[in-house]
Amino acid sequence: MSARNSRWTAVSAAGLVLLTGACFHSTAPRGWLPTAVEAQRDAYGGWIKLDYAVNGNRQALHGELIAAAPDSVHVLTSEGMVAVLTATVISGTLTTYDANYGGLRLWAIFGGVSTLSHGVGLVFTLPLWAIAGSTATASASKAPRVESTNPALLRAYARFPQGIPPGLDPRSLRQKDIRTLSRH
Amino acid sequence: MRNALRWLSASILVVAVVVGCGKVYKQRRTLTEPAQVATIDHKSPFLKAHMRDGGVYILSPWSVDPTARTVSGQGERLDANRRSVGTGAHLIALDSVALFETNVVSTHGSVAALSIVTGASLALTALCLTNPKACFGSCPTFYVSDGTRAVLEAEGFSASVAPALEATDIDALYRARPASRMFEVRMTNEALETHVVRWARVLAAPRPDRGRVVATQAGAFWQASDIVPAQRCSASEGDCLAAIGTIDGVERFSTTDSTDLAAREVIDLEFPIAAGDSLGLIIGSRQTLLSTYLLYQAMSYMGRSVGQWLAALQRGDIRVREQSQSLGRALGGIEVQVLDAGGVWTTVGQTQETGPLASDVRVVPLPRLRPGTTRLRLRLTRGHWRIDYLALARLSGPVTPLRLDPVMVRRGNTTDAQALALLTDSSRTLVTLPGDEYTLVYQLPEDFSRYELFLESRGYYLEWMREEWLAEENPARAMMMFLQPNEALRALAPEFKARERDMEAAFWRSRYVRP
Repeated sequence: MSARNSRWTAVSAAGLVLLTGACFHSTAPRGWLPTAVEAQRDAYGGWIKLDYAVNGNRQALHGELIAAAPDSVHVLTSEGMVAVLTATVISGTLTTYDANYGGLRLWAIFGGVSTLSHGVGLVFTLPLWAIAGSTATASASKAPRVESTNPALLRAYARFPQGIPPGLDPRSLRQKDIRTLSRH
Repeated sequence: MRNALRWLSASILVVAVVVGCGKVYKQRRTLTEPAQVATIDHKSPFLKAHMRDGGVYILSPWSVDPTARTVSGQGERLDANRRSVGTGAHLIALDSVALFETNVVSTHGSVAALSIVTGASLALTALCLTNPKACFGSCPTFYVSDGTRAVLEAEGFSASVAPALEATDIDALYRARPASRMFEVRMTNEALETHVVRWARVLAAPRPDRGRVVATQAGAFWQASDIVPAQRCSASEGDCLAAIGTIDGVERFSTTDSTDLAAREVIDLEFPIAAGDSLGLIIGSRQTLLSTYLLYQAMSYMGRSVGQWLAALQRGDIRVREQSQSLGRALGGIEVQVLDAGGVWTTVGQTQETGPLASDVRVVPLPRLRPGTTRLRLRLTRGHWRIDYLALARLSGPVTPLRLDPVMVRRGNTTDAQALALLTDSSRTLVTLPGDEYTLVYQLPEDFSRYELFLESRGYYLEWMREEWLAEENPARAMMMFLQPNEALRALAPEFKARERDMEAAFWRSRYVRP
């Protein structure tokens, strides 16, 4: 194998490792997000990370998206419900379900490893796996992500997509208890 | 060992596919106002009815009755804090619902993408598992421009598979059409081999008016004129005239005999006039993959002792050298025959250019033929040759070509002075590895279009022993191939025959580097 091909193979192998790690990771607590299948019957909102400005200072909060109205976004954090004015929101990253792409990443990595059986042909097949594997894994990891500050796009994934129910006492809302979640 | 690795990696990959592809989904969520309930997505297995008080029904199965303006189904009612407040059958008035939510889950597109790559990857593994001797092999390959595109026009020193077999090879660049005096030849190493190139020269021989220059098997150059194609060509399959009229890649070939790989066949040719002095038969041909297969098979049978064999060759062991050429002699070349006075077809010359990649054009000078002679016959091993071109020419005189060393060598867009120095010093060699590619630039005479070009290359190459070949190590069979080649060619016939049909396609598919 020429030095050029060796370099290309090494770069591809490194790329495979690095790029399969270049996936989107939610800040949701482990086990909090339902899978796509579970989300069909899950009644909680998605997990949102909001960056917003208060008196020129950038702040961030994480929690369950409770509602997204045109004027405010309501998030249930570990310290209770917080309403953030939509006008102050700088960015919003919502994760709607657990992409569960670990298997896909494993598939891509094993695919790359399997090119060892191609002899020096791996100078072609390893880069192919690196590109396809990293692209597929990254794409799958980002599928449940909604990046927006637009309440109209966020509200479908809120606990109350219809908006905050009239008469609801925000202090009465409880967080999802992941210890008691049943995984069907 | 390598095969075990292949089976292992294929198995791991299959398991990874099973683990990975079944669980990666994407979700499509839709909110529907109660007034639009007729448009609700019925593909969703669950229906969520979000109530005005913050509670939610999660129903499955579910149905909508637009007339009664209700939805019904089995499921659970949760309050705003998602505590269960009732399970079972529910009938809900549309007026009490704030929003409906449906979710449709489908397999993510990335699964399809990786499935395609997996299929291709497994196919390559399977190819090397099932037919390792169909993997691409070649000596140095040379590409030139035919005026419109780069064409594979020569393969250098194909029979030189060891240092002791280093040889000079001359290939006609018959289709080359240089655009200027600076003539470029691209030299590549496209196989799992180490190429050791002592030189690669362009030979430029002045063409006669309306003629060509052709080389003989012995390396003599003849000016040829009055070139006429055959008017009849017949072989075992019938008329073969359409295949041999021009050098166009449309070739006449046959398949091997199923009981004897050395079995011969004949091709009968008829020309308008064949009698007279100074005639030669121009033959454009290349080998099929039979010789490549036999080389790889011999290396398989020799297995771990291949190094000893190469060492014996290197020591100048005459017996080993003779043995190494015995299979080639048994298969033979393309013999040219004429009818003698007694009505017997007699061989008057032959051409035998080794290599399955590029057709070479050679001339076989004919003896003075009796008046009235119009027929010639070719005798050759069945399934061993691909013939692209046959024509009769008058050989007007020998000619000595100019021998041109490259004046520049490039790798990519960079000038490689060291490679140039190696290729222009016959005491040194340029070593190339799989994937290497050099552009050799030659300066032709000013009236370059009036010259016939040839490539003269000298060197040898080392075939990389592939681990999967060791599985067939069989010293007795190896000895048979060298000492009793005709018997070996009969013994190997059934196995080759079983692979022959797909061998050409598999060979080119498995090429290590594509130009």
